[in-house]
Amino acid sequence: MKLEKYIALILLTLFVGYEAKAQKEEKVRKVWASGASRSVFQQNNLLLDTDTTTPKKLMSGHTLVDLAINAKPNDQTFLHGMVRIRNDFGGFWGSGVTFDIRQLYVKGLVGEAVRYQLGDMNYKLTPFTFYSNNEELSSHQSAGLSIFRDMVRYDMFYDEDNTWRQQGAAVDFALEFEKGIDELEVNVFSSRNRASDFAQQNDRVFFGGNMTLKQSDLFSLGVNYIDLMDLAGTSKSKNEFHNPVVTGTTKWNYSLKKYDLELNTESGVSRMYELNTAKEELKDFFLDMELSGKHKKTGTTVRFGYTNVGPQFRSVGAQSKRLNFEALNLMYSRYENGQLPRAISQMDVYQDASLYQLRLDPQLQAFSPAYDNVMPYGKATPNRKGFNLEVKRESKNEFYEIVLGGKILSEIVGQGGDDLRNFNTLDGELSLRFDKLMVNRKKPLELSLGYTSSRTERTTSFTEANVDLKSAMLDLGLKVGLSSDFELLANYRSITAQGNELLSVRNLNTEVVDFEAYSTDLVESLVLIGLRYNFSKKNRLDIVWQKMNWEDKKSGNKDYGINQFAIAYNLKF
Amino acid sequence: MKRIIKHTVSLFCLFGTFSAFAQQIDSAGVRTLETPIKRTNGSSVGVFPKKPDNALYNFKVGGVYRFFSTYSVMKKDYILTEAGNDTALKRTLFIGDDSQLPNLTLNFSGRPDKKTAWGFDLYAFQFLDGNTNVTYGTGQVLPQNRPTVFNPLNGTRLATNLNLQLGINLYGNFDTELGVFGIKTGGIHWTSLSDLTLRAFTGYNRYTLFERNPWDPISPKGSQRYSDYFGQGAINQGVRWGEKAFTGTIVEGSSLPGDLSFKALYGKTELNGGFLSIPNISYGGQVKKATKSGFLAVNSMNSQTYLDSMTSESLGFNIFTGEISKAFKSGIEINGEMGMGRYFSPNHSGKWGEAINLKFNFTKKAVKIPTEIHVFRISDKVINNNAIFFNSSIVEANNAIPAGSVGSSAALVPFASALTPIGQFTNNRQGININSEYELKKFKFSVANGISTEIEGLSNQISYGHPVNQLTRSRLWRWNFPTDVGPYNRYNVIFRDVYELVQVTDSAVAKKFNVIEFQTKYSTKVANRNLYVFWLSRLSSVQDFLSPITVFSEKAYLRHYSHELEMYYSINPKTVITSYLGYESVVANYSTEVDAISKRPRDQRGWGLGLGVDYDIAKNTALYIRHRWFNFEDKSFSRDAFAGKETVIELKFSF
Repeated sequence: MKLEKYIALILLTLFVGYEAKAQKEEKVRKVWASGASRSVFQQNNLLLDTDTTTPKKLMSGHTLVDLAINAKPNDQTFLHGMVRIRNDFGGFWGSGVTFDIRQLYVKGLVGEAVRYQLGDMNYKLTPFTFYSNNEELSSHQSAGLSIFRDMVRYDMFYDEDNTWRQQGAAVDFALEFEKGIDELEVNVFSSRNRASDFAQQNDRVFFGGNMTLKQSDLFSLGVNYIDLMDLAGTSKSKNEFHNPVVTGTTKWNYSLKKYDLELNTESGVSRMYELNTAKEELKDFFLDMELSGKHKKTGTTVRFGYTNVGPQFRSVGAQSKRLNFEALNLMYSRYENGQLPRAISQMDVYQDASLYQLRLDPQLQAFSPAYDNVMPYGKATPNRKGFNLEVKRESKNEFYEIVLGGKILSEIVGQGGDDLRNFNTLDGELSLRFDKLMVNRKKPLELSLGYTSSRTERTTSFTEANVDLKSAMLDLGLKVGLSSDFELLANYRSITAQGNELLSVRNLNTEVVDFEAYSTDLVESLVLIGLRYNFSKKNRLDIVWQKMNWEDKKSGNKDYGINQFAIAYNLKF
Repeated sequence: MKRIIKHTVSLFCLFGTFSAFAQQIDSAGVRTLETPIKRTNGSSVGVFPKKPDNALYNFKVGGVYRFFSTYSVMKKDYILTEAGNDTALKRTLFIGDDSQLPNLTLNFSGRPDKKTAWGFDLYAFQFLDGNTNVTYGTGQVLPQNRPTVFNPLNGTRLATNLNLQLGINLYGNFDTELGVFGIKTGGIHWTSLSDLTLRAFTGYNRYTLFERNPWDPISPKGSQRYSDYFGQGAINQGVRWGEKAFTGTIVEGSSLPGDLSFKALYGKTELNGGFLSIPNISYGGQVKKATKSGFLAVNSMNSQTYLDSMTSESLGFNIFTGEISKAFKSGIEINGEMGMGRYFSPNHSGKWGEAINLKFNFTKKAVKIPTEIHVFRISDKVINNNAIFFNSSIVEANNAIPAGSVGSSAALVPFASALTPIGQFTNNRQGININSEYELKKFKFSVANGISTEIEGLSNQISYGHPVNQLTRSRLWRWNFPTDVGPYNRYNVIFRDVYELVQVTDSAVAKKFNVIEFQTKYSTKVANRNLYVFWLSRLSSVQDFLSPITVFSEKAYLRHYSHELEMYYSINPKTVITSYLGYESVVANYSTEVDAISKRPRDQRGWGLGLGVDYDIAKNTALYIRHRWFNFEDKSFSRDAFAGKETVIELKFSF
């Protein structure tokens, strides 16, 4: 950490007195800048007449610039250092300013064959080994709801590739073969999950890699290995945690006259144990298969899959969640005259970066049954088996895109009894781009509709152990181009959840030791209207008004609403 | 560790087995830092992103370095605070600027595309206080605040002396069929609307040049500053001149249909500054229509804040004005602004009052001697401390943050019947000013006569400043803006000035004010070198009756006369010798407070004698030295006296 700080200081010093003008690519650049900046202002109003204690009107904002210096002294070496300078709204003459280092890494090439990266990096493997699953409520999100979500994701280094931000080193190289095999690619990495406190906490590292052998365009075979483990001897503790996961992947492609077929499989085993403790070792396996076929003429794609993830399958890199449902919201964290904690709502999920986390956690973290009770840990959710089906079609003139999907899943072993939970989900999305039907209209006119419903049920001989939880999310989005760069955005999102569930209470070894009754009658609705001006593809100004209503008759908390007016200006460079 | 080694060895063995049949990526697809991992279908794994990041090629760094130091010697003990019996030190060496402006300012700006831009500044102070160490942070951080060896992230480290001054600013411009729009957000922007809504007082450019402002730019040539003042009547004072600091969002539109333009602001002025999440906001705007020979505009400025967390008690002000500017073919110009304003708080009903500010300018085309007639009237119910008038009538509810601190709603202006220069006024005032300019050969004359009166007699205090030795006096209390300080607790320190309060023993009556300002500028050559001479006199009086000119007798509560003579001689293109002579006298009558010992009212005399040099070291680099002898005494209030000398050195360059 100290080294990073000094390097950043040196970068900043070197950086003073530097001036760059716009040039074309043919000039070789050794140093250049990149980054992003934004200015956000929000005014919020809590709508709850009976609350005479909580400050109702809140205002906040900030402006920040993430300025990176990139240095490429030669074709084999690249250095990137980024500083975040932020000033909070309301500060004058330097008050409210903070400086921080945002990221620092070097990339290099050895012998024109082996590539390495050292420092901060975004990394992933497969959804069962090392994968950052999208957070709850992130599906069917149209432009309006993405305004703040994109800021949170940017801050937390969540990207569309589902990588995790790590600090460590990575190496990759590839081998070509003259015959028989096209290519063998190797990726290995190692990162530090936790530093030793030199007392009872060991250094914990996360390492692993992937080797993929591509025989041809028709077939490829891969193997993945990851392990989150303590380094023995780095503290006074004798305990050593380990979570190795090994998986194998296959991919088959076959093209028929009318169809393109693809079969992806992944299967593997995991272990989780802690040496020199009384904790039991957990080990299990999983299998995931998906067959997809694309009709060449119509473009319709059908995916059919089967998954079976054992109840004791543990993979920290794949099961760690982005959202921490045990955290307290920053905005109106407590409300009502009794100052009760305000439960996380969809508005908090979209906007509150403090609810998100970057560290991999060996515990199976808390989740919100109302938002996702079926696969809260993504594909690697343990104790699930069943089928999924998805049909997708996009018209050739891009007028519509429709996706319909469903899952029929059940537990593999019962929890607290022999009876199994059944999980059913139905998911649909329809996007209509009316501007594609209008010859003379170049401005967008888009309507989107998304719907997700899920049900969890279990019937047992004890009524107290019965489970019946339904949830649904409806999303309507509208984008109307008012001029070539001006757009009107509108969104309506409704989330409902009714029923009951018995939530597992797990010990530090992630074993179920108890159950907690959960009951909900949740209704959340959010309306958003916004204006957007696009300076360019990457730079835009959004002015947004939104209102959310929340009620849960079973929670004991009072219903409330939140009004929000916000201005957000985002630049990327 | 053994497991890592074991797995690594396995991996290399596997690799070794294949290597017999394998070769590295051939030259057709030679690996580079940016080569995509997969040329094939299949899941992408490993490090992301696969494509190189975008680059910013339009990026600039510039800035200003300004070394400023003062060395002063006091010949007499001068009381700074009565309560603590604190006196000014006999000798003071200070490295830095009391105006809290830093040594080094760096401006960074980038332009991602043609329509958008961002910028921020970085400043650093350097006090040369002898705390030499490996870094400033280490030297000036208390040991208990320093990071520990094992926990380097805690404690005070980076940015002890490093900060942003104006913050981070983002800009965007876009052209549409309707017009051109611009947006500014983020840190501090210097902006204005109109005199009665949002603007800093600029006056009639009657000021002295001997003392430089921190924001004064370096002149391209040594004497250009003085020749500009002589020739154009003003000097370049940078982007701040006449503008107010505003943070938040500013949206502007121009070239709109109907020759319209607008500006809308939403955010904070200095008076709203602070980080409380309770709303505390200023907002306003202007819609302007350009006409053939001027413009019409509608302006508004509003402020709202709350005294309690439940936002049930609000306070603030509103002002709405209409503005006109028109130049007639006859050579007569009208610039006027009229409107209504009010102040509201839990203690005030928020009644509306009038605000009028009209200027009739008779140019050379109309009359032989160009003359401007300025008529104004600001009701005692109108408050707007962001405008050119300040509040002297309503005790504002405030949030108990000391005046001068960010977020304080207590304005850093005199609250009393204020004696002000021509053009600046307070609320609860009406008056007329006549300004004329005349040139005669090498002389340029500027004269003004101002007559004003309070509308309501609300205060039995008069406030006034001391133009002679103004900055020297403000430096006696460095960095802070204390009130009720100095001998007899009658001084209040504000930004680069100090004003004094005098009690009137009569019951509060509506006071009348007269100011005569007379300025002469003369330019000639001596020994073939440019010589500029500027003379500025102000003759002011405050009394309880109306008078067409300044009252020169004891009938006035207070008479204030100041005379300042400056000479600037350019001995060569790079060097200018500067000189200054100033004299002021302030005399009060027996209707004001008298000293307990002498039994006499104020009888003050002050003078200043200055010598200096401006030297252009190189392009965009200049050295300014000023030495001043100063003296002040109140013959009636004997403790209020100081004398000494002061040397100021400023080295400035821009890049």
